[in-house]
Amino acid sequence: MSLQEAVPEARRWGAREITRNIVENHLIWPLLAVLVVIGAFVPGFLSQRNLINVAWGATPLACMTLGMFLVMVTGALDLSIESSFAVAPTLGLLVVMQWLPDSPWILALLTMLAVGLTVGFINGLISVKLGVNAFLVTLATMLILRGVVIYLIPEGVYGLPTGVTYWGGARIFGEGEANRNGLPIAIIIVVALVVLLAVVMNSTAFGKSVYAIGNNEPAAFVAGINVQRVKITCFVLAATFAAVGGLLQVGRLDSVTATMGDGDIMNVFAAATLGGTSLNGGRGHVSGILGAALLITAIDNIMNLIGVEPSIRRIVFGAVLLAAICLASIQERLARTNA
Amino acid sequence: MGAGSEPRAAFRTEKLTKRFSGQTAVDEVDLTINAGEVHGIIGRNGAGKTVLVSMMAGVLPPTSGTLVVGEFRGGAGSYSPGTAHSLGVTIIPQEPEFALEMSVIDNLFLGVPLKKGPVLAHAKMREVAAAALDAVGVQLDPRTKIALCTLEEQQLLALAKALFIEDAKVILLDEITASLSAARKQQILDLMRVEAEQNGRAFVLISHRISEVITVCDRVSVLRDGKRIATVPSAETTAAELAQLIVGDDVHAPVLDETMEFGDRVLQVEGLSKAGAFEDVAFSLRRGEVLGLAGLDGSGKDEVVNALYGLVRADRGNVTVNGKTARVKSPGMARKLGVAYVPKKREELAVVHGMSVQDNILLPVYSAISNAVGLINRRRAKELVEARMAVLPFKARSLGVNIDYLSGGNRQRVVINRMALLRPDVFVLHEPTRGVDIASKPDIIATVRNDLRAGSGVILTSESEDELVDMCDRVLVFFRGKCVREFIRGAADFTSGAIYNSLQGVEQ
Repeated sequence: MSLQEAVPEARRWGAREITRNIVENHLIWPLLAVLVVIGAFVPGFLSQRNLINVAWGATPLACMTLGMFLVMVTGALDLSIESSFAVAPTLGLLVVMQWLPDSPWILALLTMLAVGLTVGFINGLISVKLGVNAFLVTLATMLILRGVVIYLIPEGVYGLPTGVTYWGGARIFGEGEANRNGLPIAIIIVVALVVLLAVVMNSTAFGKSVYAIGNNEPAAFVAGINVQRVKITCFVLAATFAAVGGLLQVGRLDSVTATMGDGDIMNVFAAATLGGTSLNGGRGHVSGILGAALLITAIDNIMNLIGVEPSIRRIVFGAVLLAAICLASIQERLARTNA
Repeated sequence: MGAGSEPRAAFRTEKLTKRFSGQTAVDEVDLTINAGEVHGIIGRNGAGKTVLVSMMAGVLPPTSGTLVVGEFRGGAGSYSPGTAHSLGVTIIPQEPEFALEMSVIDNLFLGVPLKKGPVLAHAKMREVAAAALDAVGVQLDPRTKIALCTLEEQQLLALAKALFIEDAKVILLDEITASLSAARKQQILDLMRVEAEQNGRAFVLISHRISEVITVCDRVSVLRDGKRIATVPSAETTAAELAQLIVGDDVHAPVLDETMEFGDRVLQVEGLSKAGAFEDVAFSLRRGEVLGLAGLDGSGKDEVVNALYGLVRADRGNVTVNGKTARVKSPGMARKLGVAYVPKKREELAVVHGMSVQDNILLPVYSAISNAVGLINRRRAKELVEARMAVLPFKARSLGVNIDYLSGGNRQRVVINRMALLRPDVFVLHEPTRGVDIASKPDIIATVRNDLRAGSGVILTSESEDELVDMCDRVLVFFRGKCVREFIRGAADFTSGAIYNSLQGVEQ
């Protein structure tokens, strides 16, 4: 074999390759485009204000799904994300509002962060170090943490400090009356997180290790990667992303309720799968998560605008989940067939 | 076989040939297996033993030639695994395939159930199963799940099924004795003798061990380079004579055009022991030296290699790399100590499927070429890959292409390049030429001699004694867990034949 032959030729970017790449890796964006076209027939959907609201509403889901994405790429699942989403703001707010009144609001944020880190660390420790199935471990922690939230704030918490609600609730670019159409800071935060995570996944040794573990864990181990540490880190990051999502949600709603995030794991799962993350691990793009979170929120928004009954909405979301799983499976099979 | 009576052929092959993309694996083999005999097939790795037996079992269609079983004559297209089965020909593979979550009894009768009217005859099946288990010496409750049985037990169960439930007439055993313990092995060999003599069954036994075929088989056929060289009655031959037939006259010795000046001692192994695997292994390695470990399966060489990289934990003994002594407990530790490793099971333990060729090469060095905030230096990454491509090139459409699109040989080139980038003190290569194409082998051998050896010590194993002679400066032979002999490049006995005899335990 001569070196000449071995030197890679430049990548060709014909229409075929682009189509294939989109279908294999970025199918969510054409789907989103189709939904927007459908939305054009729904009065009010395409208004600037509504579109901003959809994006704003997608931010908590996007945060949780980014966390799920990390764990899924290693080949595991984390169900407790929806409970971390509630327990982190609950504890953070109780610290500054009841347990240590007069303490600065920053303490609430630090507490939320600490709760996220701790929950993730416990999930990781049990499932990775003890080798217990992560699905079952996080199913249990999901129930435990939900119980903690209901015990602590059965009635919910209202009248939150502005230092806490600012991140999820405030808007910039707009004064006075125009502020109602301003850009929510939450959107900027989520976009920043998406960019950050995309860089981590594609341009750092850690990101490469996460993909490698999902694709072939024994090979990653033999190559000298500290597999356990990387996997635990993913659980820690997942719960932390969920905590950030919780912070944004309480800001958006200006309250915490005991059922916040309850049942959201299904949407998180649908968004991760629709975004192109493989259930078998090793495959997925951060950008897809953003698109999928927008898609799911937009579907909800459209049903809201045309006044669909709650029971029907459940049916629709079930169908979306089913479609997502089927699509993911087809994509995976496509990716396996030779180019 | 009654004395005087003419032996009856149970199975015959006529000019059986198999070619794989131009390579002839089995070359016009005429072989007759008699009813009532245990027939050994022996030869070196790559001689065509497994391919021949796979064709006899109908698993692999021949390129040309005929198979004759009793009244049946057939070839490619007319002889399938189903045909073989109905003619009473059964293969016991190295790794039998069972329904793992089902019980022993269910598996034994899978496809051939005993019925009483429309329902299964449970009592009868239990009785037959218990008797069959007893005959092969497996002490198990027949209701045990197969998943809980050891590989050894699974092989014996497959044999029990062939003998007592399917009543097979010709039983092909593909190296099943390699992993059996000594006591079990004797029991099975005795059982085969009894079944052959009393029930006229024919057994075909593939083996790597000369000593084994010579004591168990009635006749032994020797394969070399796909051809049947001879068939000899084992009562009329000796181990040395068989070894001579197996190796042939072609004495493979190295071309001595390199100076062998070695540097400082980079690895020292002392008193390394693991119960049941290897005992008191001691050797040292110097920079610039290539050390080969040779031995049959179960000789302990594979476990020693894995112990050096922390994949197997030794009970006792020290490993010193570059002056640092440690008990290597994990691959991470071995890496820190200065050892890099190419595993034998490339697809399971080396290739990161689904990731790009570039990621596969750079995976272990990404953290070393990242800046302070963790970002990978892309220019440096490209330089490193290109530098490796100049030494050991591989065919890939681009560096971003999924590694699964590459051929086995090119994947192995990628894996060796990955490890070469680590520039460790010691390279450990566990069968680096396994499962690669003919064109890749010389390139890999050249990389070992010209590139990896520079500045590091290299330890490797190979199934081929010819390759050991080509690659190594020194070869250690392992036999039953002990290092029994050393061959040194340049000495008169540094030939593949001498190494083969030594690892077989045949001294001449």
